[in-house]
Amino acid sequence: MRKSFKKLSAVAAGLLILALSGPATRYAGANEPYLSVRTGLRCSQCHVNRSGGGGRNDFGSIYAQTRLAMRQYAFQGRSINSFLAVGADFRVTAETTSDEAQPNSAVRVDEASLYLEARVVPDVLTVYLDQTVGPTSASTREVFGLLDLPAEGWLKGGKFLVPYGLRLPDDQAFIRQRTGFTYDTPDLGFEVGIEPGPVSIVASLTNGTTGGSENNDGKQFAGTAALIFRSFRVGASAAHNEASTATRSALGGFAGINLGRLTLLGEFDYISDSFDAEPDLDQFAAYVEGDFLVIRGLNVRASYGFLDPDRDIGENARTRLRVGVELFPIPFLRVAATYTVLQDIPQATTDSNRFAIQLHGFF
Amino acid sequence: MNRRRGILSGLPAMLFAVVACAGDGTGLDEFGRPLGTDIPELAPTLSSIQANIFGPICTQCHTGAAAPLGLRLDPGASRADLVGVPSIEKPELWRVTPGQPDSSYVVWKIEGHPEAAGGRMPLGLPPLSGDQITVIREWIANGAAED
Repeated sequence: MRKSFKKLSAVAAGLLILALSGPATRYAGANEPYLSVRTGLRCSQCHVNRSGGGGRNDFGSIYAQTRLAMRQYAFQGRSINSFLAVGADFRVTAETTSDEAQPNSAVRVDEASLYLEARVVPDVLTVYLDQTVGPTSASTREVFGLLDLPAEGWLKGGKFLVPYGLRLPDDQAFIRQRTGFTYDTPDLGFEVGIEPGPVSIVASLTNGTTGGSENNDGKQFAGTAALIFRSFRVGASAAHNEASTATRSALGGFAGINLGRLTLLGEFDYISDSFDAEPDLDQFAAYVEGDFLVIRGLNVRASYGFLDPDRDIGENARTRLRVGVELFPIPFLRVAATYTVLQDIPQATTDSNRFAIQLHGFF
Repeated sequence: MNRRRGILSGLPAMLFAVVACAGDGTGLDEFGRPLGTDIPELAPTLSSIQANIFGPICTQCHTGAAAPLGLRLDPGASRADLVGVPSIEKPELWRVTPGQPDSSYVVWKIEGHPEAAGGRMPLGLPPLSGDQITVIREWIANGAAED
C-alpha cells in the first residue's frame, strides 16, 4: 500500500508539473535547463550543439555577459575570426560528506573542457569539438559536423550527447544516471532536428554503446518532441537500445513553467531492461526543481529526485533532495553552494549528506 | 494573478508529498535485495565479487544495453566485458589484465588512480572499502578466472 502511495506521489508530482504547464508548448534540455525555461528560449538559441549542453554560441555568450551576471564589463567576444570561435568550462568543487563510515572532504576538478567551433560554411556547415582536457587524461566528449537545414532544422553526424530529457548538468540526478543519458555517455551516430514555430523534434540513431566500441548490429534510437512557449513547455522523450544480449527502453515526460521569478521544471522516466539470461528490470525515476531569481545574478534552487530502482521490490525507493544558492557575480563566473541529502533505505550504507561549494568558470 | 497564487500555495504541499517517499527497507538487505537472497561471503572469486560488489553497487549504472562505455557488470556479462578488453578511456590498458592488478584499468578506476580518466568509481557513491578493493585485486592477481 505504502509502495503504491509512493509511486502515486511521484507520478502525481510529475503530472502536476505537466498540468501546471497548461495545454501547450521547444525541446528543453540545456546546460542549465532552468535558464531555458526561465527565458522561454530553446537550447539551440544559446548552444552550438543545437540539442543543448557544452559550448555556447554567440547569442549564449552575449546573454551570459549581459543578462546573467550581476555586473557588466566590456564585452568579450568568443570569435577568433569569422572562421573560428572558442569556449571553455572549468568547474572546481570543494565537498564534504557526512558519511560516518567513510567521512570524506576533498577539493576536486570536476570539469575542464575546451570548445572549438569551425564555421566551415557560415550558417550552413559547422564542425564542433568539445574536448575534455582535465582533470586527468584528455578525451573527446563531442565532435561532430552540423549541417543547417530548412525550418530551423539540422543534421548532425559524429560523437555527441544523445537527445533525451532535460540535459541537467548533474549526472548523479536519478533521471540522468538511471536513463544513462549523461555528460559521460556521448554516443556515435546521426541526429536530425527540426524546430518550426513552437515545435521541437530531435531524433538520433547511434551505436548504442555510449562511446564504447560497437560489437553488434543493434542500434539505439532516442528522441525528444516538445512544444515550447514563452512561459511554459512540455515534452516527451523515448529511447530504445538493442544490444547483443540485452535491450533497454526508456520513456519519459518533462515540463517547465516560468512564473515571474519562480521557475519550475520536472521530468519522469520509466526505464525497462531486458536480459537474455536474467529477469527483466523495471525502474522509475522522477525529478522536480524550483528556481527562484532573487535578484539578477542570484538564484536559489531546490530540487527533489525520486528513484524506484526495481519496481518488483517493495520499500526500496531512494530520494535525493538538494537545496542551494548560485551567484553570477561577474560575467563567466558562477559560484554555487549546495546541500544534498541522499536518502536510501535505513539499512543501506550509502546514505550521505553532502555540502559542496563550486566555482564554475565558463566562456 | 489568482491562478499564480493558487499554484504557489499548492507547491509546498506538492513538495511535501513527494519528499516523504524513501522506502522503509522492510524485508530487504542493505543493498535493497529481498532478505533470504543467497549472498556468498566477500572473497576473491567472480561469483562473490558479482554478488557483493558488481551487482549491488556497479550495476546501478553499468547494466543492460546502455551500460556506460559498453561495460556491463551484470551477472553473466561482467567477465566478458572486463578480462582482456581494452578500456575506452585508456585503450593501452585492458580493463582487467589477468595476473596484473596494477595494470588493470578497473583497479585504476576504483582506486582513483591519478592517470585514470574521468571520475573515481563508483561515481557519486562512497568509494569501495579497502576490503572490497583487496578482493578485486586478489581475483585479478589469481588470474581473473570464471570462479
